[in-house]
Amino acid sequence: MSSSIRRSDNGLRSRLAVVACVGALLVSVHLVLEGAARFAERRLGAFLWKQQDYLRLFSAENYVGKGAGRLLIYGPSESREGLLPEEIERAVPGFKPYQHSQSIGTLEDGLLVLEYIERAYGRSAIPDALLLGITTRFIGDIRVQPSPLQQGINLYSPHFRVEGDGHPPALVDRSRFELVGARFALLGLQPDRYRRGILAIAGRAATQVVPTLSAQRWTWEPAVPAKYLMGKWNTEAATKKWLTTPGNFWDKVHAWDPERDRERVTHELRLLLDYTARHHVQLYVVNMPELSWNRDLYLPGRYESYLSLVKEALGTTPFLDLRTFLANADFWDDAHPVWPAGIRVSRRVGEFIAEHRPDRTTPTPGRNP
Amino acid sequence: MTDTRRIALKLLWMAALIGMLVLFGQVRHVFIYQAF
Repeated sequence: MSSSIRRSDNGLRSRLAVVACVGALLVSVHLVLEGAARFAERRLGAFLWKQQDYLRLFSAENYVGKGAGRLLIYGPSESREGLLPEEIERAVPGFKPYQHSQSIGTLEDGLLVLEYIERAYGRSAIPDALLLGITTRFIGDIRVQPSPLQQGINLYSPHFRVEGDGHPPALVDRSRFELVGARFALLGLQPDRYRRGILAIAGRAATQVVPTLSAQRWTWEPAVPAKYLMGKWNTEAATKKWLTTPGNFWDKVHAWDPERDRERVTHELRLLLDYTARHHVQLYVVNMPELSWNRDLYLPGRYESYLSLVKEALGTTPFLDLRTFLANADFWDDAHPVWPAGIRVSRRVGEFIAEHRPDRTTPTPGRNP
Repeated sequence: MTDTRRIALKLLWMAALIGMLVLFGQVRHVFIYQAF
């Protein structure tokens, strides 16, 4: 009897040892993959959340210690495709453009992002300059679904949750208990980031060995924000039909009355100006290009009202209006420019920033050398 | 092959398998919104 008890004890110990071993290996694998992803983000400047761009905010490697010299680019997806960092960088040496635009993002989301960066990652994360690419939908805070950024913060942020219905809503510190839950929830999404991290490292290694491979999209495109669109999404007739289809956001955009929204828009732009003044951040604003078919659909006076309201609220902030900069053939779909058009927009914006940039020899106050 | 090396090799295989499962075994993609 005692030998059978001993045998079952040994059996249980073996099983526990196997479970402990597997558990330890699982943790080790996650640590190694996390290390690879962080290396890709920190050393290679890779962007690893291409399918869920609102999650990038939770990787400290994207922000801590990276504010000095950074030109943070924010806006909706039109800005992501139209403001290409590699093109802008050529015109503004000394700045490191960092594309942070967000699909279906709005100005309210942008204010949350700036506050998040400041509170979660500190002074070293605040950029030296901010390039804001705006559209009517962006300023009008027009959505057909809740903000994925705000939902993402509530589900996955290890730092804050979003509360209230202010403009913008408040970022509230998480309790320790909430923090653990959020970290576990985010862990479940990491495989996406790990895969792109490994792809980014493999792509860079491949181009080191065979430099001509850098022309192949697979070596760089998975780890950059933009999609570098080519060709056409659909026919001209289909795009025009989409612009007038009830239920998507375009009918709200075309009917939006900026005058009724004056208080909110002015308040949000004032918050932006306060932030940039407080942290000595240079601010540049670009009104992004639009399809002529889209321009024709606004109710009379509404677009002019939007432009006038924004310019009034921004005061002396450098403002570049590129609404009519592109031809219809330069668009992939209802809003996004194709790659060659994005290059032209970016070069124009780069020239604009270079023209309005203050003297580079003046150090940024408050930033440690 | 010594026992130690055999165990080490087994652990390496297990780590590789777990690594593949972590990287590619995500059954459900949880998107709040799939960014365009």
